[in-house]
Amino acid sequence: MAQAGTAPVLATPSDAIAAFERDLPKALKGRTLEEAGWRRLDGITLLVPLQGQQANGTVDDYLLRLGFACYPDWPPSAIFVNTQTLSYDPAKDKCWLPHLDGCNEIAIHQNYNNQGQLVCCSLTLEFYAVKHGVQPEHVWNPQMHNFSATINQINWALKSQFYKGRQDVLPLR
Amino acid sequence: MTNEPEKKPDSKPDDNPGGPIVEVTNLNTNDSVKFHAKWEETLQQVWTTAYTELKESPKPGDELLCEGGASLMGYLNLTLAQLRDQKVCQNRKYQIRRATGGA
Repeated sequence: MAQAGTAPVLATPSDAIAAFERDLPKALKGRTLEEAGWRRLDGITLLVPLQGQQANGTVDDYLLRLGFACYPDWPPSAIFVNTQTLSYDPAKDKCWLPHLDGCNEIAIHQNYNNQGQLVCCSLTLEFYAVKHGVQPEHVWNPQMHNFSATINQINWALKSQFYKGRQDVLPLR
Repeated sequence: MTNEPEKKPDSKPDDNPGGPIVEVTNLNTNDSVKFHAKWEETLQQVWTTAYTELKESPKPGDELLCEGGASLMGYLNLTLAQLRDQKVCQNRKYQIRRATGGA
């Protein structure tokens, strides 16, 4: 069970896959993976396209990669990735990160304490891996959360007044 | 601006004889409930009913959203009829978002 100050523990692969597949229909809400535009890379990795919407109406496309190695006792890993490489390099991929400004519930760090990208929110695995402080009422609880919560909260932030565009400009192609 | 509740022309003011149907989703789980409400109920009352239907309890920091993400916290004292007339969140699909830690 997730708790602050404790390193996340891997689930057995069969348990992780079973929990992911149990919760996937709820996340899809009657859609297929294709209809949702999602892509399952392997048994425990899911790619979810998201859009940020700025106050001026500009829409920015992102790709969120969820990992379920510790699920469901811990939340999914959640990082934004380069849409070409499907991975994240802190030295090169800042442009693939959304910029959230002024929100006290979630932030996105390019390279948090040299530990890599951090979607700083109590619904992501990395938040616990870096041993971020958290109020007890915000700790991930597999009885009350499933991975829809992670997607929904990040999606909410990308549509909120806190969203300010990309962290860096996209390179010319 | 994305934080304004959706305002669209409505179709029929009394579109269901049993009262308007509302749908509320718990964003922590994506569980949804649908139920009949009354036009004279306030959004706060509908929200309270939704917690019961979802077998959830309200917590400090919870926020009621319109589908799409616009906050409805400034409209809690309005009735569904008033929301209809003001063309606020016309599809009556609501979401409960719980606060998280982070940043």
